[in-house]
Amino acid sequence: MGFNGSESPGDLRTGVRTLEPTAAIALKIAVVGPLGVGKSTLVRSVSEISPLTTEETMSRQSVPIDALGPSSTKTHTTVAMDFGRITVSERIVLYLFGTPGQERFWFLWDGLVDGALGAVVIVDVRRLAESFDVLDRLERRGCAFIVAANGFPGSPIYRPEELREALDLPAAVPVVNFDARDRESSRSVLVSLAEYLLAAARRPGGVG
Amino acid sequence: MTRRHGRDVGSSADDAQDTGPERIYVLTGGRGGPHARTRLDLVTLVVAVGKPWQSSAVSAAIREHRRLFPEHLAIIRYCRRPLSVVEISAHLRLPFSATAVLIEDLLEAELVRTRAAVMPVVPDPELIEEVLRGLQRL
Amino acid sequence: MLATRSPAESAHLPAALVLPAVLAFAVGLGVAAYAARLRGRRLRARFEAELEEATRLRPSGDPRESTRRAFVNLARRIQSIVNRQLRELRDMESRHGADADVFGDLLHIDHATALIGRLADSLAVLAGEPPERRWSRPIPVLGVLRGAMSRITEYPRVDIGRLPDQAAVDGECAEPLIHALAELLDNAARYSPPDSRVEVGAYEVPNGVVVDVLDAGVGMGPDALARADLALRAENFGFEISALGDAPRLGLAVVGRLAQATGFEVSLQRSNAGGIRASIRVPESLLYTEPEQQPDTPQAEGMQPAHVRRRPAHRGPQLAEPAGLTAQGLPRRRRYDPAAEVVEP
Repeated sequence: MGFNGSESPGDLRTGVRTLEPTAAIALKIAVVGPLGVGKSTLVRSVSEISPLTTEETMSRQSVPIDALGPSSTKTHTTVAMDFGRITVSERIVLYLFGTPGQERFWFLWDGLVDGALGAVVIVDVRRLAESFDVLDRLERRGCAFIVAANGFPGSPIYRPEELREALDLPAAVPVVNFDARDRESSRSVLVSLAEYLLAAARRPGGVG
Repeated sequence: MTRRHGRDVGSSADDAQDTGPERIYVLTGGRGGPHARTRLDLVTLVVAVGKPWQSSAVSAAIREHRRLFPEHLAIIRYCRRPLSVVEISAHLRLPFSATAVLIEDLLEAELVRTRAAVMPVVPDPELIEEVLRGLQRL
Repeated sequence: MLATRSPAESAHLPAALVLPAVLAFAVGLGVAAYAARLRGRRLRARFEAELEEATRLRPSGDPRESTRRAFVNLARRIQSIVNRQLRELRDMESRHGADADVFGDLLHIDHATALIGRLADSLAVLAGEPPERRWSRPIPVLGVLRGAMSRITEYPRVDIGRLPDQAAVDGECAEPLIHALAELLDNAARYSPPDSRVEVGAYEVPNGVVVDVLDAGVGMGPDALARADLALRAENFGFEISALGDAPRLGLAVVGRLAQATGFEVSLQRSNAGGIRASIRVPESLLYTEPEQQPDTPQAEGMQPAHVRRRPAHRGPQLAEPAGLTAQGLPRRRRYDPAAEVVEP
């Protein structure tokens, strides 16, 4: 952990876990994918703070919007973007944003995917097609991403090449299997992303 | 998913009022967001200038800037050390734009400073290397 | 001025006969509405007895009463739509909180909605119905002030001055105070130069908290002040349809009724600076004080009333409770007592 061992002076009174005084650069990583695919789980697994939720509000996710009558305001609840934080060095801190992938939440992407270092697209192999929109959108925005298949209990495991073929991804884009509940596994996904970004940054012409 | 807020919306007619009687525009003075010149990103880091959380400095600031509300003071307190705008927003339970307006007030009063977030159009390899090393160390 | 009725208003029946009965019924309805919410069985029993006494005198099929009920019905329907819209707007403000343009537009609609809401609230109060809105948590004085500012057109002209550090109003009693304060702030802003500031502040007194609203208007002559004071102290609880048109009278009539029903006092004075100082004296019984809070700890963060450790014995707003009813079921007025006026510290 290194930089996160000590409680900062503000903690006791405000309950807010601040950064190290030397923190100067904050980078965003978007964690995207369809509902219930494990975005929040990944964020929670690797975050150094208990995940926080931004104030964006939406209808309760388990209830389809169409099923709700006009007087359904009571099903509105605050859920939206979960985010977490990882201090990676004295000066750099990573913010992970779990961002809903459905079309009606694309407005959330503006401040997020734009200007993000990169993205992790989480897929559930049992409903792979639900991730197509998200991939399209990232490609169109020119946001670098890797694909991570979350292994749910009982779900089949596919080899990365099989997934890559199904998703029609270039050979350079990493595709990995992982378990979002596992910290080590989630961390390795972020490492894969960083390695991919580094390789792309060193390559003339960059990502893409 | 609502674990942070634990807000049980609308469990009774009266609870519907539990956002309280105050509306956000009073807090922001009607402003929908900070001025264009104040560029605040979700991850812009905010840090207090000097030691404004000390009570004498705060009361001086209140005298001088009449629109300093408890929410402003809370931000100052949060930001004794750097904190991102999105974290401040979550802790205040206010929308991002409203939070940004309050931070702008504090920037103008010179009570906080921002550390510009890096938004790499072309990612800098050294930066990414540092990130990678950090992640590998975790 | 408000205390006198034009003959035309009650021409259909001799005023001497109808008015006391109508007033008694109006009070009865109000009492019933409050009684339903009061927790203490003893208090409820007392209110039920008073209600019974009041309804005994009610005439049947009174046209004024049916008009009054129609107004109340209308007001309640508007209030319900407004409340829902305010909730939804808060949701939308959160949802679009990252888009300053949309967010700003939503704030604008939010404000307009709050103004409509206050009008509907005033209509209900003038029709003899107490505010329905209540909060489950205590509202710090700052929350009461900002809540009132939320409901007036010219809130950016209001400056909040010194406030007591710890005082909060019981959530069950806050609404009438917020509404009354909104009316006073609105009057202050409306009858002072548009570029002048309106100041609001509060301070603790031995038996409660005083909230002051100061404007930089031209002030009022002694006659105007006396008339305004009379409007505030109007002892009638009947349906005052004639008050609905006229802004200052409407506002003051609403304030007067809220004050009487809830048990706070309002006074108007000429301020030294030339404008008007409107003061609300909030009795201790409506207050909730957090004893252990650090002086420099924010009272509220994120516009949420601070959580509290201790609840006081409940006491809801009560219709003219301090003075009660006469044997005939009429509300008993408290005589104006200059000595009871709050003196500035």
